Amino acid sequence: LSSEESERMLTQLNGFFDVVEQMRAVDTAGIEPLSHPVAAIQDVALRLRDDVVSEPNQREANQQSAPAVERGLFLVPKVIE
Amino acid sequence: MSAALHELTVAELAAKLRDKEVSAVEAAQHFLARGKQHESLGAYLDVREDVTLAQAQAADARIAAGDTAPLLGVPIAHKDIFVTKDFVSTAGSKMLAGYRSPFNATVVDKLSQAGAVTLGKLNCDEFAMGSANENSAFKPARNPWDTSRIPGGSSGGSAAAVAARLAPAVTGTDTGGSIRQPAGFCGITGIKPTYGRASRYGMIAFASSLDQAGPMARTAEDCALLLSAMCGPDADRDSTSLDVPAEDFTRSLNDGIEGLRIGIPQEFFGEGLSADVRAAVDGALKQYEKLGAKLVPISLPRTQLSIPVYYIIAPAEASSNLSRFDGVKFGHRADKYTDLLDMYKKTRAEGLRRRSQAPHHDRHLCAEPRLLRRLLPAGAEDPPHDRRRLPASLQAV
Repeated sequence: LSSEESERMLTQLNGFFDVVEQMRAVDTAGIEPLSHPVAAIQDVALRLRDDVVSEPNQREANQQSAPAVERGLFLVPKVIE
Repeated sequence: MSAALHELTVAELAAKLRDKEVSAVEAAQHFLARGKQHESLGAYLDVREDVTLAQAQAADARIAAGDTAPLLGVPIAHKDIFVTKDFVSTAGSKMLAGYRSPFNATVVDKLSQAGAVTLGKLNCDEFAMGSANENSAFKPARNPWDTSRIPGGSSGGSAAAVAARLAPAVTGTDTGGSIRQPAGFCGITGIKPTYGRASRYGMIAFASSLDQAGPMARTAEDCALLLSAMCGPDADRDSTSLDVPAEDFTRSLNDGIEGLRIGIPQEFFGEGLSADVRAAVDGALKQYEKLGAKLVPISLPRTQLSIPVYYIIAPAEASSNLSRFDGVKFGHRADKYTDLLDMYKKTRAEGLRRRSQAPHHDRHLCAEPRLLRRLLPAGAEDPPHDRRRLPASLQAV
C-alpha cells in the first residue's frame, strides 16, 4: 500500500470500529443464533441427505482450469524440506 | 418487423415465438447484432455466437415438436456470477480470467429447461462487490441513458443490457442491493427474492447468507415469468434452498391492488433521503392509493442496525468465500514465487484487484465496500490454506 492508501485504509478501519461500537450498544441477551437466514420469520427444517455417493468422477473436467496438474494431481510448490 | 424485436417484452416475444411469427434463431441473431452494435456500453464480458445459435436452433426444434415451455426461444443473458459450461465464468475478476466451469449453475439450467437461449455473460463488479460496476477487473459498464454515468452495481452489466434493449431479460444477484439498486439506476425492474427461493448452486459466492439470484427485466410481468422458472427447491445441491415448491408468480398480476395494505416504514424516510427520491417515492405511493391500496405507517426500529450488521456479516463471509482463490485448484496463479506462502500472496495480490483507488460514491444503503477493506477486518491476511502436508513424492513445481 502507498502511504496515501494506508492513510485512507486507516480511516476506513477506524470507521469500522465505530460500526462495531454501534452494535455493542445493543442488548442481544436471549437472542438465539439463526440456523437459516429465513428462520427468523418461518420454521426452516434443515435437511440431511442420504450418505451415498452422488457425484460422478469428473477429474478431467474439474482439473481443466487448474494452474498446474500432473498425472491427475494438483501441483503446489514444495512445502517439506 | 425484426427491427422492433428488441422493443418486445419477454411475454410478447415468447408469444411470437410460440406462434412461429419469429424463430428463436432470428431473435438470437437480432440481439447478438444489437450487442455488437452497443459494445461500448461494456454490458457483456463473454459472447459466443456459435453457442447462442446452437441453443436457438435447439429451441426452434422444441417449438416445432410442440413443446410449450414458457420461455422457449427467448434470449436472455446471465450475470457473470453464475457459472456456465459453455461460456467463460469470471465474476468480473482477473482471478478467474478465462475460467471454464465443469458445470452450470442451477439457475442457468432451470432457465434453459424453461426454453431460454443464452446470449452471453454480463459484466459486474468483482465478486459482486461494488455498487457502480466500476470494480469490474475488465471494464466498467455504462448507463445507457447517459453513458457518462454509472449503471449501478454490482449487477451493472445486467441492468445496462436490459435498459439498452440488448436482452429482453437477464439474471442478477443481490447481496446488499446488487439487483435492486442498478435496476433503479437504469429505470428497469428487478427483484431480490426471499433468501432460499432460488438455488445458490453455481453462484460464485460473496456473502453466502445474503446472496440471492433474481431476474431483471423491463416489466413486472417479465420478472415474474423468469422468477417462476428460477425458483424451486434444490435440496441436493444447496443446503439453504427452501423446501417451497415452484410457483407461477404471474398468477396475481392482473388482480389489482384494491384493499391491499402497504406498510410505510417511517425509518426509511429519515435523515439522508434526498428530496428528488422522496418526491418520486411519494408520487408512487399516491398512485398506489389511487388504485385502491391503503398506506399504513409502520415502524421498523432496528433498521438503523442493518448497515452495521451487514458490514460485519458480508465481509466475514466474503473473507471465507474468497479464501478458495489460492492459485491451487483453479483460476489465476502467479508466474514467479519462492515457496507456497509466496505463491498464495503473489497470486492473490495479482488476481484480486486493489480497491483503494476506486471512486467513493458507494457509502450508503446499497453500498458495498471494497474488496481490500472487506477482507481486512475479517482477517484474510492469513494464508488461505494451511500449509499442505504432502508426501515428498507428490510435491513438484
